[in-house]
Amino acid sequence: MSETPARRAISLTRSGVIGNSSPGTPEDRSNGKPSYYDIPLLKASEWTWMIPVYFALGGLAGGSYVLARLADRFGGDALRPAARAGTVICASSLACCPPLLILDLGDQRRFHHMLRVFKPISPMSVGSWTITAFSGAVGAAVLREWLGARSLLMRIALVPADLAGIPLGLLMTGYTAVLISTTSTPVWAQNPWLGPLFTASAFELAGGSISLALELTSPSETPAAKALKPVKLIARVTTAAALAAYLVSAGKLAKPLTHGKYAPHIWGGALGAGIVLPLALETLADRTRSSSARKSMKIAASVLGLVGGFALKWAIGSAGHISGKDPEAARQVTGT
Amino acid sequence: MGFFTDATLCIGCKACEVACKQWNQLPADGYEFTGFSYDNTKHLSDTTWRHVTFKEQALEGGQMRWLMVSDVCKHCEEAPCQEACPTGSIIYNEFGNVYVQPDICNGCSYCVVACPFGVLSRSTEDGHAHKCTLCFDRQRGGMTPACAKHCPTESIQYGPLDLLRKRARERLQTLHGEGQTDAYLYGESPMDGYSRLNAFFLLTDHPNNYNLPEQPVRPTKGMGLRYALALATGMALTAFSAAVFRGAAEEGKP
Repeated sequence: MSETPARRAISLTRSGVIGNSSPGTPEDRSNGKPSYYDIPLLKASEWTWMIPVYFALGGLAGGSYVLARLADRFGGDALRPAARAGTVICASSLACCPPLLILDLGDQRRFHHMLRVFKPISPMSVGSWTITAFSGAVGAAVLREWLGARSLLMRIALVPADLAGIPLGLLMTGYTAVLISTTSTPVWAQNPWLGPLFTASAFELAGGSISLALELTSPSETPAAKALKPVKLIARVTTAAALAAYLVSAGKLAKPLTHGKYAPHIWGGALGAGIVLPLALETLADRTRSSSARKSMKIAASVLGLVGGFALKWAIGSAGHISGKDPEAARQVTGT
Repeated sequence: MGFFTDATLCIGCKACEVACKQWNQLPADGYEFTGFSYDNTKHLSDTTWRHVTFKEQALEGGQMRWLMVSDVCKHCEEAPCQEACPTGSIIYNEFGNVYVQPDICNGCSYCVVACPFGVLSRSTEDGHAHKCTLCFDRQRGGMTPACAKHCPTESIQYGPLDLLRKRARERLQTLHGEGQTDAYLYGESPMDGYSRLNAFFLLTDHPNNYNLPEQPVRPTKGMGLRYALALATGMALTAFSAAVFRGAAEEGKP
């Protein structure tokens, strides 16, 4: 926009001239930049605590489904316990998702309107259909764990279930990131790294929770637990890299995450408890001779990993409440 | 059909706000006193569908001026709220306006975060999202929307968009001819990739001074790439896990 007398004039306007700093009124913090009394330009997210919790649980369901089905398909007898534990974790975390999503609606009696139309342009519509179809695939996986795979019918039925279920499970881990990045909320808007971050974090949560289940149920280290180690490692490395890419590309817009209320969740939770501490504890455990100490270290590492994964989704999901109310951030994303 | 709101004609009387509330039976927003200007409603919401921004501006040499405009849902030609709505509640009606069907909305509040103008919010009364309907009911009865009908200065004009755009361009020329060179049209033509607004404005200062975004961004822009990056990460992790598990199975065999 071209320089005009009025615009030159406003650039000379200082906050004290028109601002009113009495309690309860917004001060003009814009330092002479054009603004409307620093009233938020956007509306902040109205989602409650249930949505960030869903981000974590839905991701965990998707990730543990994929790992369980891969363990069943490719892992043979050695990974049978991982397939079983993964399926149980997937089914139980998925069961929590619909209540969380429905209770957060403004009008819960109309929850079924989510399946009234299919709109590929709306990530929430894609997500509603994904979670519905994914539930079917999870049902097939549960039946396989319950009844065994001896019957020919079961083995035939599992092929289409897995072929559809694995892409659906991956979508479960990542669509929530696409959903929040397809908004106008500055901390999320348009950021391409949220998807890789949510997906990698879901694999980290899934690998960690399956490991935890194996550690709690078997006396010594199983081949299944051993096979999960490189999976967890690569998931953690990817999470850390995607988190760095996200925070760097969001720049100043990531302030609620890097400096504000949710900084402890990101630095202490996602990075510390979720990535650094588990890596350190597991490395230490491998060098510990006492088997009981080793076991408790590994359990602690898995629990910390889960805490970190939840902290990440909690922080990013909740940061929208702060970011959406920040007029400076809104002006920044919509500036030319 | 749409609105053309001319800031140079607005006198800040708020007849539009009152007429809108009366016709649409919207509740009052309480008796909050902001103290910073004559604006006490502050922003558009589920209960305020017309909002007169009222900025007192200090100019060089100690002079003051008022910047006023009646803000409203922009009824975007390609509306982010309509794209976001998962239930199909938000539609384009037969007048080409963006309309929230109150019997369909289930209050997911995705439109609230999708809108780049901060127009929508969710009602605490019925849990549904509400915004300007462009007086859909009055239009169907062949009447002018309440705000435009009550505007005493014709700052708010209602009509077919071709006509409104033509009239707006003529008005702009007149103003420029009279020496008011800072006047410009906001949303009359596409803004660097963002669609035209079916409720557009004539303004005289930076959009941020009216609490409008300088360059609105369509949230679905780049969505395909974001899906692709998420799924590519998932597929890479899947392939890696499959290879590791296969290796473990081989090792486990006698």
